[in-house]
Amino acid sequence: MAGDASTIGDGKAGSGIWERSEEWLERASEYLNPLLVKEARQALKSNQFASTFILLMTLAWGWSFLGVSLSEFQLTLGPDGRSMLFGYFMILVVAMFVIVPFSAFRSLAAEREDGTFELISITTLSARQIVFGKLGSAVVQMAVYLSALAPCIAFTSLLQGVDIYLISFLLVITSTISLIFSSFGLMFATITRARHWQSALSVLLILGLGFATLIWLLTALNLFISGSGFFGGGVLEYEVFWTSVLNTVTVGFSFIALFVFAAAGQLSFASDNRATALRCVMAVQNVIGLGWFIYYWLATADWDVLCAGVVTLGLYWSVAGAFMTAESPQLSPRVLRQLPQSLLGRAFFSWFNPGSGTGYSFAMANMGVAVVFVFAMLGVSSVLGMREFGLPPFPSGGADHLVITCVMVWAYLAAYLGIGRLILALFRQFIYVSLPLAFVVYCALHVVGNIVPYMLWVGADRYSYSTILAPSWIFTVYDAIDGKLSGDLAVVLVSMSGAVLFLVNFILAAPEVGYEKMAVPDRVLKDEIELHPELQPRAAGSPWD
Amino acid sequence: MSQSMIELRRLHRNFGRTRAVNDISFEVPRGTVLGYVGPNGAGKTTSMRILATLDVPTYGDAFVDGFSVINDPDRVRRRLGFMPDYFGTYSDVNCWEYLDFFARAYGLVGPERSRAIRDVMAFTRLDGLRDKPIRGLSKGMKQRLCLGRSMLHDPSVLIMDEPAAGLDPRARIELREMIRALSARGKTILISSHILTELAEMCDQVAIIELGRLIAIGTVQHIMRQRSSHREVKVRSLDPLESLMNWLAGKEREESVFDLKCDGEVVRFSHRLSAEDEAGILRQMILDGIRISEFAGHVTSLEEVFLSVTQGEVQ
Ligand SMILES: Nc1ncnc2c1ncn2[C@@H]1O[C@H](COP(=O)(O)OP(=O)(O)OP(=O)(O)O)[C@@H](O)[C@H]1O
Ligand SMILES: [Mg+2]
Repeated sequence: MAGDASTIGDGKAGSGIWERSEEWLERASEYLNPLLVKEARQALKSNQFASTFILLMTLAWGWSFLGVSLSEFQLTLGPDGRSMLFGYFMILVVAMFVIVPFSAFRSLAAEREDGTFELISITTLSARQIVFGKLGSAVVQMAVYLSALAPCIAFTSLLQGVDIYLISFLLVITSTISLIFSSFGLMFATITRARHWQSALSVLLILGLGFATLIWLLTALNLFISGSGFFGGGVLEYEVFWTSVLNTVTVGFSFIALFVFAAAGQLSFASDNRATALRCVMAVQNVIGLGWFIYYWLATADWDVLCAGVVTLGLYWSVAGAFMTAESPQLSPRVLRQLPQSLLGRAFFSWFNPGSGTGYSFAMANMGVAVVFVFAMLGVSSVLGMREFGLPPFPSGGADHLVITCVMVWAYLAAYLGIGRLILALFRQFIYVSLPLAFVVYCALHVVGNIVPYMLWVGADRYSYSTILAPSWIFTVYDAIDGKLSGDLAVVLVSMSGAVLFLVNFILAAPEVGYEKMAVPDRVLKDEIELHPELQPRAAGSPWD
Repeated sequence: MSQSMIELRRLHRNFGRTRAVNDISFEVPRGTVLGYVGPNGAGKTTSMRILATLDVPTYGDAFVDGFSVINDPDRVRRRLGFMPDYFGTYSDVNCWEYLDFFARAYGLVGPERSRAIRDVMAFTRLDGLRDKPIRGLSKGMKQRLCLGRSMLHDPSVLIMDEPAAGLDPRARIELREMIRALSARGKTILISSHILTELAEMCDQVAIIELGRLIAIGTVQHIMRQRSSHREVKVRSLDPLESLMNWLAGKEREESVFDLKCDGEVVRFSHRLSAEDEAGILRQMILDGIRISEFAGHVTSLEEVFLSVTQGEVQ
């Protein structure tokens, strides 16, 4: 039966190198995502793909020709290398930032419009595999475009004014961002199935991608112009290079994971657990984000970096929290089967379960980690001389504004998410709360909370911060960072309302922790044993179960 | 463990105000071919999509081989092949690549996959079309390809939504033979169709629904007997018709038969008797010396059942 494995290629024993490699490819495809294999086959036949590829090549060679003929024989002199490289870079960025993410979006959206998505979804492929398959196709497409332009880019590295660090820096960042956009495009495609909404989203996505391309090209141009000073010319600091690459890659990939899991959650079956995987990614992102701010704080010894970190994480959790508090507190029997039962397991894992109350507590706990870290560092540095440990010393200008900002950010998060959650809980009594509805509710909440106090403030002819602005987090946090809030009543008001709303919501969330694990039906247990005879049912007794 | 491979239990599905499926319950035993009929908008597609784990019920549950479509969709999917009322095809893909993709998606690897594709192509007689682009297929070929796709993972339950729609008579006969062959292999099949004569020939039972409610389920004869209070019999004799008429007129006076009429060569009458007593009448005729050449209860067609059972209302 050994020959059977290769019958895919009709069983003809390959003799030529072409047949041989084809056979090898077929065998390798056994381990690849089915969607990736299908899409690779489609791409090889489709005109669209071939024409895009040829267009890219033509543009790149055209640019090379133009560049060479303009600079005549001065190829190795002057800073021409940089302008050559920028030309290729522009072509590459348009392909990677617009074409790749948009085709990822269209490819998933089209499956849903044509009904083929339904056919795939009832196979044994999981929603996550489907999204990864689509993302894999985007990666292949990226690789093809990169390799089309690689010879040209390699060529510029022979010219003056261009160094290998600049090239690799730009390529790594561009690829990472392209992948982020592609996963975002996939998530975008799962938002709605209605055709008119899909076309509205297409336009939105194209505009966004075009804008991002422009911004990135301008940034890159800036780097190119100052390039010889920043990256080339011996001034290149290896640390700056590596940290910025590492920074982009870690943060970037955490967002890719976030978008992929969000897309998979949207595509998964209604009774599936759509929350836990996403929350794990969010917790990791919290740690990565905080980690980078700590790194830059240590590197610069500037406490305001931590302050910026807390505010950034506050913004992150206000968005993530808005979506989490929109989840229904009802758990499906399918989810209930997998709940932890022990006290320890419940106390720790319950916050990862779907539900608005657990989501609220989860966001507050993660935000709390960042705030507590800043307080701990302030406390330690005020008692110990930090220099001995290589840590930044206690801020010379006092830590008031730092403490106030942290407290304000946490309190505003508790208050806004708390009010939003209560409103959504009220809505849920009468109608189905969808994600778009939650989005609208939160937008309204933030607009009212910020604009109304501002109008009152302007109406009262004030010129400096006044307690009227207390409900508005934008103005209050802004002034808190500036240190203008010390001793203002707003600090007390905001902290108090934050604390009260947190307590109310936390207590209301209690029933969501009290769910009892549901027994798995006998029929399912039996099937499980038939499917995986090697897996013995795990003996209970771990304190986490 | 229950024997039924498909079970609907108090199934409801509302779309806003529309009650597309309104409290339907029934079971389909292993190996049965159940025809699913009902007027347009009755809720056939909706309930089949729920069974295929493409939709979730508003209330109630459905089971495939004992697994809930709500709580164990993954297990249901391994056992169920679904052929929807649309094709769902890709551009730039040929028949073999199409089947290969779905076979991979069902987790079939290596020789197992090649065998599955080969079997399915042979069964649906697609061997000759291996490299043909899907876009160029005729409706009948596409339909066969879709049947093939739904059978790749050798499911024990098949759900087919109007597989015969748009097929020419020969293709319909081929489809009927395929379904019979599948049933002979022990598959449980739920099949909806508007072509009732076809359906009657391939189904063991039918379920009739209207406005989201189950109206009747069982064999065609069983439903008819349940529904109508009498049965019509047609008799032909080698003797002059008068003797037969006279004999039956006697029975009419006894009030065991009614509606006696002479219809050219044959005599027709109706009765409300059991099948046992009907046989008794025939026996008595023969014993009384009437030479009977034909004695036939009128066989009701699925169409007649359908028309007598449904009201033709739409929501
Ligand atoms: N996605 C949907 N949104 C709103 N209403 C729907 C939806 N799907 C079905 N319906 C409604 O549910 C009812 C049942 O539709 P269904 O498609 O199940 O009927 P059917 O029996 O398959 O009809 P046909 O014989 O025409 O295929 C119809 O009134 C239809 O309008
Ligand atoms: Mg239908």
